[in-house]
Amino acid sequence: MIDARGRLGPYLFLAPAILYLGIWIYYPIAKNFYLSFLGSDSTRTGDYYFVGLENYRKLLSDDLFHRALLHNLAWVGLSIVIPVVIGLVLAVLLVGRRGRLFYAAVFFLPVTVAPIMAAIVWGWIYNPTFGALNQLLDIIGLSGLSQPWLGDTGTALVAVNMIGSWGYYGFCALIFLAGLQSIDPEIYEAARIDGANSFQSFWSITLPLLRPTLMFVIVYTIIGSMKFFDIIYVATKGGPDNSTQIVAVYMFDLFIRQGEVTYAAAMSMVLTAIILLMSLVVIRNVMRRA
Amino acid sequence: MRNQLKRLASAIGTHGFLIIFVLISLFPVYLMFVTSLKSQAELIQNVFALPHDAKWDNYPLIVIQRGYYRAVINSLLFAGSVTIITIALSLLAAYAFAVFDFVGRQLLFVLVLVGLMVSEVSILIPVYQLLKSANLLNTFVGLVLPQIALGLSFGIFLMTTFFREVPKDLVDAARLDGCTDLQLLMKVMIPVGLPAISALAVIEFLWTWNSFFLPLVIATKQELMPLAVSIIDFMGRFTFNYELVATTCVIMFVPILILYILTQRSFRRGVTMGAVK
Amino acid sequence: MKQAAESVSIRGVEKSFGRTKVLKGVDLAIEREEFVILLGPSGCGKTTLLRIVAGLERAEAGEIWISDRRVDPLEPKERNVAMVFQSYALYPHMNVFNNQSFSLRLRHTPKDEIRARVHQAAKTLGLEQLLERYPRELSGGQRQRVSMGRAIVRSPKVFLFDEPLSNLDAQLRVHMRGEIKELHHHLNTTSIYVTHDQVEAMTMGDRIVVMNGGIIEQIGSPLEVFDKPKNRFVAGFVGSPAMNFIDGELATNGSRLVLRVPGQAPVPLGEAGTRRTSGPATIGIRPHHLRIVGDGPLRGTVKDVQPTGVETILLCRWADSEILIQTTDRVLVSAGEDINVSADPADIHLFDSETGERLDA
Repeated sequence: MIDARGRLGPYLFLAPAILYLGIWIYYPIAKNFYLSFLGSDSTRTGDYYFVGLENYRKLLSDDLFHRALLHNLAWVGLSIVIPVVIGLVLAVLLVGRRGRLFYAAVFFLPVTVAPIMAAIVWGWIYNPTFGALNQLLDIIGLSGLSQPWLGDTGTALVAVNMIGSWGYYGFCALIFLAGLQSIDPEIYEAARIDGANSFQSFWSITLPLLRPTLMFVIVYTIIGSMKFFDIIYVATKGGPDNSTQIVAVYMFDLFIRQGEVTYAAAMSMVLTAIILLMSLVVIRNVMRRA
Repeated sequence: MRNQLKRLASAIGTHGFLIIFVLISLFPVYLMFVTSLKSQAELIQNVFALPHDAKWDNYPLIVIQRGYYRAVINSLLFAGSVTIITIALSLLAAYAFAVFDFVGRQLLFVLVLVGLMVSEVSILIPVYQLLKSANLLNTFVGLVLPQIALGLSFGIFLMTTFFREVPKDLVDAARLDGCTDLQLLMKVMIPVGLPAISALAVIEFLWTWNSFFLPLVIATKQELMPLAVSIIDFMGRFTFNYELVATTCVIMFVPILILYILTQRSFRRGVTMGAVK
Repeated sequence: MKQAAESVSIRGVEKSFGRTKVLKGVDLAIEREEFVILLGPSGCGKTTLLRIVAGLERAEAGEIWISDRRVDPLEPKERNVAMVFQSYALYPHMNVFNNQSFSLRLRHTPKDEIRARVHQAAKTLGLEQLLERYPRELSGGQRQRVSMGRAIVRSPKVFLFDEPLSNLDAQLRVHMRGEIKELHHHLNTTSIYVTHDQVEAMTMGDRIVVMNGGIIEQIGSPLEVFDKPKNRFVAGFVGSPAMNFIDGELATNGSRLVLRVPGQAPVPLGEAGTRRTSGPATIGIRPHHLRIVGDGPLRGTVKDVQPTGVETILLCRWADSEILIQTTDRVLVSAGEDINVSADPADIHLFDSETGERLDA
């Protein structure tokens, strides 16, 4: 590494990117923070005045916000249980197998599909009149289970999470596959000679050595689950009866449709804080290696 | 013999399991294609099979008569500009982080990493206000500028990790050969980093092409809408014309599909490089 | 391609990495056309010193001069030095021709001249058939040659070598040693060559600079350093197998100096002359200077016999220390036997036990 001795070189190279992030990331966050302490009597005039923690107090008693946050947390849990686990299983089955590149390529295809498109197409699959899912249940004799999947408050959140999971397990599989391939095969040979069967070597070798990758995927999943928007916005708009309402959609609605600028700012601030807090784990992990 | 049978059974079981997921992965994409070719009536009777009588005329109808070519061009320009600018800024910054030792390097790198965690949701309101006060709402520039910021941290991070792996001796040799910093970046680091750069390019292009949240807010004029926003706008007006909505989806997906097939290795590298490091 | 060779002068160079001081004031004057070896264990600062001459590191104190030009404030490219790296550092995306011509192209040298100089260098190094190849298509030795070719096309004022042969296998290393030497005879460019391999140092250098812990321990021709090591470190580092050291107390026996070692017969050290005649001291004897003779003053127990065919090495327990004896005779002793050995007083080096400095002239 070159010792720059107070020369301008590195700063000149960095200036465009840092300036850019300054204008479009750091400044907006600071501004958002500032806005969250303001309020106004009429939402349309834009005459704001300082209200202290009023917006945050309002968040504490806003049941819809609590529900939305709870749905985000449920989404975290579902996304770890379903696509992450599926991705791990697929990767373990694929590693070292012939045809793994073909399988990986196919599993990754849904990741390239725009979330809004996935929401549209799955909306059809879930459709009560011509939906593929109900028809499939008819064919295998489970027509009793048929229902309007996205229209029922009991099933909507899980159904909509399946859309997200469909576009995510291939990503997890690909990352786990890369993590698994970086494990030296001689370690498995050594374990076999030591008498480990395949389950034992999975528990005592694969999982521990895959820990950094697993960590990354889980934290990445948490971040994604807190901030996602597209699928809910297109598939259910938070309904029915707010059963799929999430923070991003609620905040978007407050800001765009109701003009509640400062309240929406406080909400996005809370979301940002939660994401940053959870992400600290990642930063610490990365810095240790940098 | 028994062992062989057992192994065969387990191989069949494994491939069976994998094939179920192949079907799950492909079915919605297949459904999108066939729906775009079916008539309303056929859609309700025949969900799974190929259309009896493919209606290809949906495509010219959407692209030309409904003016969808505009959205395609918008998306290409939008994703193309964002990708190119993001890569240029990432390369410059990553070069500084990877090659120099300077006061504040750690701090600035952490700042960049923070950008990795910030989502469009966190910056929506101030960005909207900023664009509004600069008269950039509903302009192409206004669409491109904030979108770049969303992928920039990832680009810097990815390229820094890659540039750090370029052997130090190679950098030293180039300096002794007479390279200035800019020449070192252009003539050595970029050619050596081409695989990583193309990986970054396809990922950024995909993200931008598929991005929805900021464009939804910024581009409300139809002439400016990229495909993602345009489809939702279209759907709002023709909700039950499934075959037409499906057609717009296919139009949006085909370029990505082609890109994916052509650059699979870059795709895989881009996705896994940030993670497994 | 030949040009007037330059001298290099290193004056009072100091360098730290964090809190570790790796160079503690180094002075070294290198003559025109000289081939100087920087030799020392890893971490002694030799590579750092080379990189400071190249301009890849900055010294905290001191100056670097190339002939009558002070270069330490200059960028590497302004110093007109060329360096050959241990890892070769070839540009993977350029073929051999482009690798060699890169520096000339950066300088906007006319195309004809670039072509002529690259072909000339390729001829010197036997690379003519490989100009279109990419580094990944070359063997280790070929890469090494390309990396030297890249250095010589520039006609630099100084060649810097950073352990250029340590990635090659033993046979190729011997061969390339000869090639580098021949190249130097041919071009006569002033060269600084860093290595930890003492065979390379002995066979290639006009002078060897032995470094340790950030200072220069000794500068001298290969045989000077070998025959008259200035201190115990140099004596122990140069030469393989390493020199034997025995601690004792100086005394006189008439006009003759001896070393008294508890429980052993005194070791005769020849005429006292002007040397110190009392106090603690350490003697050093190279293994090949020890001879097995019935009445030798050193009596020890053989612990191991290691025949290599050409020679035999005996490991002996002697007083509290272990000593090595190297002989080309086929000795017929086996482990456990006692033997007597002696050495010619002229072959015994005498060092101060405290400072490690050489005591005899």
